[in-house]
Amino acid sequence: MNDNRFVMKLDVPIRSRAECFQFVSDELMDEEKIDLSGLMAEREENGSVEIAEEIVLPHLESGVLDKSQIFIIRPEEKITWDEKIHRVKLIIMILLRKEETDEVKREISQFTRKLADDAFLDYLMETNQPNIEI
Amino acid sequence: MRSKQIHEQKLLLFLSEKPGFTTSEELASQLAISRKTVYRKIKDINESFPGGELILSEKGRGYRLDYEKYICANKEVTRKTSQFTPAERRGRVMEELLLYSPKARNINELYADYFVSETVIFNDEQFIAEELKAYNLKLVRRNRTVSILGEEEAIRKAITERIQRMNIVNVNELKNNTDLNFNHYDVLYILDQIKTIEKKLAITIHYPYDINIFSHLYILISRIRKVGLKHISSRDLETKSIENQIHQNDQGLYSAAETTIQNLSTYLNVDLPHSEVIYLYQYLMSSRMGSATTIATFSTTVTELTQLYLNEMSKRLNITIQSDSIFLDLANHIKPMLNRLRHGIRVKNSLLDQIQLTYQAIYNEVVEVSKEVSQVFSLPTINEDENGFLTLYFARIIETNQLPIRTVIMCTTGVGTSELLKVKIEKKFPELEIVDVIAYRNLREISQHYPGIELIVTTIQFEEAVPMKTLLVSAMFTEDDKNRLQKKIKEIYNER
Repeated sequence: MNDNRFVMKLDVPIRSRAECFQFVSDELMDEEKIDLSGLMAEREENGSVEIAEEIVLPHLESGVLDKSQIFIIRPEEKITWDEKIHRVKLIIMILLRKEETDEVKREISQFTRKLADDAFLDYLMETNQPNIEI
Repeated sequence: MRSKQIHEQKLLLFLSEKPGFTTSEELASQLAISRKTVYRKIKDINESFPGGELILSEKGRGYRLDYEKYICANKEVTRKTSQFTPAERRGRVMEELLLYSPKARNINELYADYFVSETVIFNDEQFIAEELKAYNLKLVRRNRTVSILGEEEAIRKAITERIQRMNIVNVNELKNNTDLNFNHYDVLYILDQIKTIEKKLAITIHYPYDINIFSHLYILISRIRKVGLKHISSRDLETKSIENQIHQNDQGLYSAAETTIQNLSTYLNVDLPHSEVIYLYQYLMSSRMGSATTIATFSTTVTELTQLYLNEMSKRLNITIQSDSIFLDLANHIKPMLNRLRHGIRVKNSLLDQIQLTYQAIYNEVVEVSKEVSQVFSLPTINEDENGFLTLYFARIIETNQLPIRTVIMCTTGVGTSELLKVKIEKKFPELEIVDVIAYRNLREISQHYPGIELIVTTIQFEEAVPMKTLLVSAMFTEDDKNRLQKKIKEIYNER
C-alpha cells in the first residue's frame, strides 16, 4: 500500500466547505493550484455526499490529479457543509486520478466498503492517532 | 428389503434428473449412504437389469443414466402385473378384507389366486395387522376366516389410502384399466357424476383431487354393494354444526354434494343418510378447483395461515415475496388444505419423492414452517404429502418471480459511494444481483458491458435516457431510500 494513499488530518482549523477544499488543495503541494472546489461542486449538485450522520464523502475523478489519494479530515469544530448538511464532524475525500490502475481502485474500494461498518466510522471519528489503521 | 428398493429407486430418480455425469460423492451425500454402498447399489442395479448396463460409468467423471433404457424399463414394469410381489399381494388381500369389513372371509378363498403356503399367509396376517394399527382397525382371525373390525370412517380411510398408492394419474385411464379390481360400470357412473359436478359448478377438479373424490365415491359404492349401508357416526355428529356454517362461497359445493348423493341413492337403490352428503361436501371443499373466477376473499384463518407461510418462507429462503398473485395462488391452495386437515382427508402426492429430491432445501424449510403452523393454529400434523404440495408453490415462486434483478450501482468515481452502497444494499436486498459498481462516465456503455441489466441504483442525478429502470438514492441509504428501492423491486417483478 502506498504510504500516502490515506492521509489523516486531525483538528484541522477549517470553518467551511470552501476552506476544507482549500486545505486539501494546499496539501497536494502541486505547483499549479487545483480547483478542487470547482470539480467537486458539479458532483455535489447531483447528489448528496452525506453518508452517515456528521460524515460526508465527497469524491471526484479528474485528469488533473497526479495521484489518487484519500483525505480523512476532522475539523477542530463541526462545520456546515452546505444548506442541507450541517454539523459535519468527519470529511472523507476521495480523489481519484483519471485512468487509475485497477489495483489502486481495488484498494480504494476496499476502504469505502469498510465505511458501511459503523464501528469503523466510530473509529475514524474518535481516534487520536494520525496513522490510521485501514 | 424395502429400504434397499427405496434407495435404488431414489438413486435412479436422482440420476434421471441430472443431465450429465454425477460423482459417487454427490450420490452418497444426496442419498445419505456411504460411497461404498453407492458402488454396490449401482452394481446390483446393473446386474439385475436385463438389457445390459442401465447406469453407465466413466473414470473421473462419475455416473450417468442410459436414459432410453431407463424409460423403456419403467414402462415394462408397469405392464407386468400378472405376478404379484409379496407387498402387492398383501395390499390386495387387505383391500378385499377392508371392502368386506366387518364380514369375515374364508382364508382359502381369499388366497385362492396366489398359491402360497400357510407360513406365508401367517406372515401376511402379521403385516396386515401391523398396517391396520395406524387406522385403529383390528384384524380378527377365527378358525379359517379373517375379518377387519373398526369404525366405518377408519375403514374407508384405509381403503382410500390403499387406492391412492396405486398411482393413478388420470381418472379417465380408469375406464380401461384392467389391472385394478374395479367394477367397470361403477367406474363409468362415478366419472359421469364427477363430470356433472364440474359442469354444474363450472369448475375443473384437478389432479390429484379428482382421484381423491373418485376414490371416495367408489369406496362408498363398493361398501354398499358388499356389506350394505354403514353409518359414519362421527360425521353424523358434525352434520348440524356444519350446515350452520356453510360459507356463501361453498353453497354451490354443498348443493352439488346433495345432488350427487341423491343420484347415488337412486343408482344403488338405498337411502343414503345425510352424513354422506356432509362427507362428500367435505371432500369437495378439500379440493382445489380451477374456475374462471378464483376466490379472492378468505376467512381470517386462511389469510393468517397463508401469510404465516409466506412470511416464514421468505425469511428462511431469504427472498421477498410481495405479490398479490402469489398470495391468492397460495391461499387458494391453503383453503382446501385446511379443510383436508380438519376433516382428516388425505391426498396422496405421487410426486413426493421427486419433490423431496429436487427441492430438498425448500422442502425441509416447509416442514419446519408447517410444524409451527400446526402449533399456532392448533391443527393436526401437516403430513409429508401436503408439505410436498406446498414445496412446489415456493419452488415456483423462486423459479419464476424471484430471479435476481441484475443491478449496477453508480457514483461519480465508481469507487466512492457506490462501493459503500453496494455493501449496504447487499445486506438488505438479496434479490438484487449487483453485477458491478461503475463511474458515471461509463453510463453510456452499460448496456454493452452488462447485458440484461434491469436496474441502476445511482447517487448522482442524470438526464440521459437509459433502457432500464433507475433509482436515485442518497449515499446514506436512508429508510426512505430502502422503501423506494423495495417499491422499485416490486415494480420490476410485476412487469416480468
